[in-house]
Amino acid sequence: MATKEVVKKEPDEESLFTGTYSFTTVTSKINDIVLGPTSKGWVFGFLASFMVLQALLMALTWLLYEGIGVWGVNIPVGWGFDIINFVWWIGIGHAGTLISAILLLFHQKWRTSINRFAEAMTLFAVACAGIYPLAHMGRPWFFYWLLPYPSTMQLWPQFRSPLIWDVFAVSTYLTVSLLFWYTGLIPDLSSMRDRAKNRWVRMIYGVLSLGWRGAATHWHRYETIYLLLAGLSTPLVLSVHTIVSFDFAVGNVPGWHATIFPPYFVAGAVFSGFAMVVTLAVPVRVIYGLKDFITDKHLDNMARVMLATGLMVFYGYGVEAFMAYYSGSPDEQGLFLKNRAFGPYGVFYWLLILCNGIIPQLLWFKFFRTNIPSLFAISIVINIGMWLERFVILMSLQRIPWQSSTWGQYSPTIWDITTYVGTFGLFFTLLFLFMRLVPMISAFEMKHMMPESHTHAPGTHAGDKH
Amino acid sequence: MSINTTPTAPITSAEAPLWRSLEELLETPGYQDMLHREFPSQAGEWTDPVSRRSFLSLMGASLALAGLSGCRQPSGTIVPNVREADGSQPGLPLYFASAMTLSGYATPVLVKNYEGRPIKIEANTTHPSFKGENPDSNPGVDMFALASILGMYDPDRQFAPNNKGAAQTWEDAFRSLNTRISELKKAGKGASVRLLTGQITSPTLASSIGRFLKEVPNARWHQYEPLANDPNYVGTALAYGKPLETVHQIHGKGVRAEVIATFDCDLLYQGPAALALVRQYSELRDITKSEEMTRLYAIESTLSVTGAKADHRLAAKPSEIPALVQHLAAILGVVGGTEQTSLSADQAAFIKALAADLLQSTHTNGKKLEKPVARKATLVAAGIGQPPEVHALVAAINEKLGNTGKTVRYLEPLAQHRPLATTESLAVLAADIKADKVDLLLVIDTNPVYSATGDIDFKSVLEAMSLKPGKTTVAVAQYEDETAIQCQWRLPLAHYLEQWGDALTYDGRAVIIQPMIAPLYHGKSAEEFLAGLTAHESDPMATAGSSSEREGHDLVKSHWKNWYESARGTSPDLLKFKTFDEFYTKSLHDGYVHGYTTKEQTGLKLTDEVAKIARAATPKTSGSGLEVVFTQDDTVYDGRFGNNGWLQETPKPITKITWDNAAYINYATAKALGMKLATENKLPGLSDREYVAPAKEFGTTAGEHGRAYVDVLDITVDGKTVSIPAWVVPGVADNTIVLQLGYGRTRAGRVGGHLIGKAKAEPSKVGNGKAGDVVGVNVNAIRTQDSLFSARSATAKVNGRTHLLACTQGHHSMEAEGRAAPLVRVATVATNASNPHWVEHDPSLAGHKGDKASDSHAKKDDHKGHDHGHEHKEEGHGHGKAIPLTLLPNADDNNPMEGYEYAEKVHRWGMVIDLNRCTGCSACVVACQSENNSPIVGKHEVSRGREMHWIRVDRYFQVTYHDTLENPSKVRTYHQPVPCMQCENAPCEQVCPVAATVHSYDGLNDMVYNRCVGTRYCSNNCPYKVRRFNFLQYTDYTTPSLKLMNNPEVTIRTRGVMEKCTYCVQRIRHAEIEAEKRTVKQAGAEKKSITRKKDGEPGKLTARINDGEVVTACMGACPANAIVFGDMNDPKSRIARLKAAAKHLNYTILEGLNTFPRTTYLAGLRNPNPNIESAQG
Repeated sequence: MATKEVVKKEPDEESLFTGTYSFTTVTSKINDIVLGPTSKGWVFGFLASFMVLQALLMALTWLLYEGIGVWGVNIPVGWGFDIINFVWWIGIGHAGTLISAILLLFHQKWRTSINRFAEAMTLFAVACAGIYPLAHMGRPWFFYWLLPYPSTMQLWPQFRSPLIWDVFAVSTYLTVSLLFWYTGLIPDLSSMRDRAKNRWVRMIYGVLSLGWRGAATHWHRYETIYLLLAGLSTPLVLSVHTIVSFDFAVGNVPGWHATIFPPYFVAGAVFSGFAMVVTLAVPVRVIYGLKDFITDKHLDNMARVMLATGLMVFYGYGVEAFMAYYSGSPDEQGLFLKNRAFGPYGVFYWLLILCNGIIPQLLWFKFFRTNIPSLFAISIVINIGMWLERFVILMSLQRIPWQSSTWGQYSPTIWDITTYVGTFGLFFTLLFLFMRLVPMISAFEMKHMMPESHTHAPGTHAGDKH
Repeated sequence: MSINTTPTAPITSAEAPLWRSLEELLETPGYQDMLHREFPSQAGEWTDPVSRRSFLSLMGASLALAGLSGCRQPSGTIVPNVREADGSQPGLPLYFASAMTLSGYATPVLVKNYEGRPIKIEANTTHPSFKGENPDSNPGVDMFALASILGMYDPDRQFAPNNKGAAQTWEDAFRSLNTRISELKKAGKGASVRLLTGQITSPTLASSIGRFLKEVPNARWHQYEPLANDPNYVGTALAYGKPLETVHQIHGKGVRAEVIATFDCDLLYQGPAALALVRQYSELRDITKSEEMTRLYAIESTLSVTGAKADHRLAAKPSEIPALVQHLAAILGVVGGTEQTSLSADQAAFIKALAADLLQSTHTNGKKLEKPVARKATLVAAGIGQPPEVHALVAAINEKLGNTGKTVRYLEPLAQHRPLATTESLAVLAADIKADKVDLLLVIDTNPVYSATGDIDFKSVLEAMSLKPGKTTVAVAQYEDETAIQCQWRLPLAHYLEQWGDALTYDGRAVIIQPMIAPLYHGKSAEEFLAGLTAHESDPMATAGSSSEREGHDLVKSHWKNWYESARGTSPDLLKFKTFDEFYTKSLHDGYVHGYTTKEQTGLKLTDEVAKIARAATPKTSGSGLEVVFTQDDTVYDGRFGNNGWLQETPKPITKITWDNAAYINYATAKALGMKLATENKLPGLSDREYVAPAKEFGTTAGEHGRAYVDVLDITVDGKTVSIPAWVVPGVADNTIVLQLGYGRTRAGRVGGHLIGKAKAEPSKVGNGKAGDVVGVNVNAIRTQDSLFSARSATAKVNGRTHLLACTQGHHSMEAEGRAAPLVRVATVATNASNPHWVEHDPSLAGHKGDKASDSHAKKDDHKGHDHGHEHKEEGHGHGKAIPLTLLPNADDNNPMEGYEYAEKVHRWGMVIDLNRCTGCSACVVACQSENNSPIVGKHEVSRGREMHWIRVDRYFQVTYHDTLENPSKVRTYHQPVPCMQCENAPCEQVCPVAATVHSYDGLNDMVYNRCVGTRYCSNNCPYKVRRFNFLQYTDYTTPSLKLMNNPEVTIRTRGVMEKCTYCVQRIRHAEIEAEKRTVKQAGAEKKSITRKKDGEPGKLTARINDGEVVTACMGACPANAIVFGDMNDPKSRIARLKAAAKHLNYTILEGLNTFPRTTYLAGLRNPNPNIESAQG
């Protein structure tokens, strides 16, 4: 690239930041997306998402009016699309925190250009996920009974239930993720305040930036709190999906009752989270011309994470199958293995193996990691695969309880599907609002990455001067 | 006891203390403390007797006012029964004896009344024809009687008299009809007045009809009953020269039937005696006396409930059954019996073995006796589907076997003044109408337009008559049904719970029917209607109802007064009564007329005709053609219960289909017809020995549990065709199609199909998912008078359409491969004798290769190389004794509650279900629904796996490995009722996030509806899948009449909450309060102060509830006494005694999960004939 001649960079950072930028141009490049005029493409995208969101509202209204029976759930399949999609969305929400917190702690600089985006995605995914546990209740207006509040009847939630653990896990995760995201936003919000021309916009960003002046004490406190929050978030990455997996692992349905579930769920969550980040980042960086910030190197790195977690998930499938066989238990062997692989939902199982096990192996090859269309396709395949995984876990096992007289099947109704599609509306509506209203890339952290920030650091190109 | 107890206003404080909690009633110190804490300023007032009393009387008054809307007291005297109370007490139920009639015959019942509303049918435990000799046994009720409550409150019933739709009053109707009758009489056309009724046993109604026929000279009485016992009457007439009522008695009065053989006879499910026979049969199958167990042979074309219970079953085409009877007669040496050469080798061998077994016993407990012992009593029975000749021959066989007077008794026919064949009677009427010989037709409580055979085509006959000028047609019916709508006058008939009447039981005892409530829909009883037509012949303009002679009660009472006076001298039973009133009161109270029996016919001589007839009856076999059998429907009878949602939604005992009828065929026939079946639907985890799926394809929603799309067959008989969905039932004879009557009603109501002019029904409540859809298919069209119950040379072809059936259970057998322990455990008597611990070491799974005595169970596992039984036992997986895999307080058989605080202190309720007795009749399902206000959900919801029954009856088929599909005779059928297991270590409780399901202080697994938020996690975690969820608003909150029906002791559940069997906790708490009151009263009488262990704490009762004080609804309904509920902590209780007596046969299902269920099962025992079993291998 021609720019290489202008700014010489450290080799490992080379591919994480391309193009000719000064501190100012980085800021304006990122912030002008927000402060500039609304593009027609955005309006179109936003309205389309918003319309899909209406489908969600309609589905939920009908659900509240008529009852949970509008869905396809039954006895014995008490949980259908509701829990599948809950787990799926929660899984997607894992990438954000992982990227922000764990990669921060491990000083993985490549996280910078994607972390805000990933965090926002986390929040929105958790928001979508959060709809399901509420909506899937028979009487959702009593959702607060799951909270430990001082009731006059002196009744507490039943703390042995994994659903209560879910309440705590998910709400904690949401809270911490929100704080983390917001804290990271503050410096950028202040620069938005400073650059905004419109008085009202200035006031809004002014309020949101909480009086940030860029003083050294501010930066000091910021770094401290950001690190602390990263430390807080890190266990949450592991805990949320561990606890979600307890919903199944604690139950006595054959096939659910397995110790492999927590690690396997966490790996799957990270897997799907990264896939979703890739799925979203690829178009965004094209549309907003951010290829210089979200580079091929980023995508390559994410592909590597996907490969690693994908292998863990694949290993999980193998262990599940092996343990079912090795247990010698006829329940595990006969119904778990055979039914899962060759039962009415067998095709989904094999699709799942294909999507999550076979196709991600392509990521061993650099070609597939760096060829953007194929990477994009693989990321979508993984998203589908992870959805299928949850489908298979819920459906192929719930339908065959212990007594053959009670076996059943499940298929979603139009309202199950509308609700699921509708959550995409919510997700993308929020995402479009996010892209329009706040800087989608952390401008100040990008500036950190620039060579100019590193003039005094040892081991950088600035070392030439010494 | 006070007789005159026409209940007035509810009694207030002075007599009946009103209270809000046990503590308040007993005025415990704890309660006083609470009062002072909660209401310090008013505490004095509460304890002050004067002001308290005034407060309570005010409260009583407000209760009385509140109760008015639901309070419809019948006029006349009714006498409370059993748990007597002098007048009604608000909040306490009263029980009255009455009887429901079905095809004229009475089923005695007790009706539970709350403040003037009948809400539940219970068994009448005093009726001598049903109660039995074992003091522990309970007579039970059938599902038709149980569901009659819903029938009475049915909002679709005919509301008021009308003439072609124009509203009229009863006075108008009587005036008009009396005028018409007078005209016809004056014109000398009495013969053109016709009366059409169903089969009637009622003495009072018979005398009313007699009076009517006398008033109107030459008027004729026709009768039509779709499921009448015509062939038996005709058959006995052939055998003995006069028609006789055949009464079977297999146990009791010194009789034990050692061998029972049924020929196409569903002895344990159909007919007026079924209830009594099931109870008797269950005595003969007492698992604790396996050496005395009776042996049941069923020879049949269908797979009936009786066939499912049989030790040996022979599936034979309908045309072959007479030949089999002939063959049996010949072997036994009955005059006229001829050996049949057309029989297959299997059939001949079967009949030969049966004949030998009927004569003498060769084995006990599977061991060969040194010398065979002659049988003391046996029974051979033929069903109503068999021709009269077969009945005559069976009578001769019983005579030969010496059963007459023992297991078979003959009475005068109980049906009143009956034509021998009712179909013939209807055909005569139809012909007369066509010949213009009828001017006035009165149809009372029968629906021939729907149920008449196709060749009579009563619909067009009646339609034409109604349109002709100068003709009058009148229907007195509960519904504006198919017949009523074709009549000019449609008059509402009272339900049996609304009217006075009487009827005879199967053995000829009379029961007086008492009204429980004033008619909800202005109905009149048949007696009242006829009295209205006859009492004022001189004054046709007189208004009806003003004269007391027309009151049902007076009619009934005066009939019995006449009888009492005439019989007083002859009946010793009547001598103990001083006056008629005493006799009458006692008879009402006990639920049967004292001293009234129908005399047994003794000294009967077989006519010479038998030999001739028998020879003539040699059947014409139809070769390989298809044959059709018509049978009573298991749940809607002949269609009269079409609009009864409880019955429509009760899964049929064998097929588990709801809301539909279907053509039942076996696998081979289906294949031959080219139906696509099968193995492509084979479920994973099922090996070859499992039955394959019956459906062409499973729907996508609830799969085999709930939803199946099946082929529709066009079945043609004599040029007439019906299209009906086909359902594969293993066990149906080859080339046989079984069709059930009672479906395809076009004017049943909103539930059963089409009711024009009524508000649109809730789609979820209606059969096919859409309001007004016809439910099922009417097969009467292809019946003819000659082929009432079976037709030959039928053809069938797959017509290409599919139909959705809502079936609650698929066809796979009980041991889907991979399940650790069999849910139903069955062995032979011989195995049980040689290895009493077989339940713990189930031979069917453990692969005891040396155990040849065990039935073919073990054999088939050998084929599959199933030897994992051993290894798993060591690993704690299931079979036999589980090694606990839990960290929770551990348990052993004797005291699974060890470690629980409440273990010894209070009652430990439990249930034992005896699989050896259970016939799968499903009365428990309806009883539970009625007791616990369970809603119906409709076909659509059932097809999605959302039925709401708290107890289900699982049905499993078992087939031996080699002839999985080929031999319908070898299919075994087992039933297993599954209520909540009430686990000590309940998986549901651990996962509920809001503690909505918790253990009660006495160890019950309670469900707190108003705490439930509906996450359904408990259901997911319930291994027994007994929890039910209100996916939609299933309970009808709006229909006024249905509101009256609800049991006030049980909460109505709203949408979004989970529910399940509670062991009828309301009955337990009721008994607790009664016991507590009893103790207090007794202490008061003895001037003792009551010391309580820990005052104020719930559950530390000082009073013990006696055994039998709590009877769950299912147990109370079970005629087989298969369900026993009681206190396991009380060693004298029936359940404790049973568990001790049958210790080795008692097992829990899914034992390996360590849930420690309180509901346990007694294993089933088969009692096969060793001579057949060894021959068959």
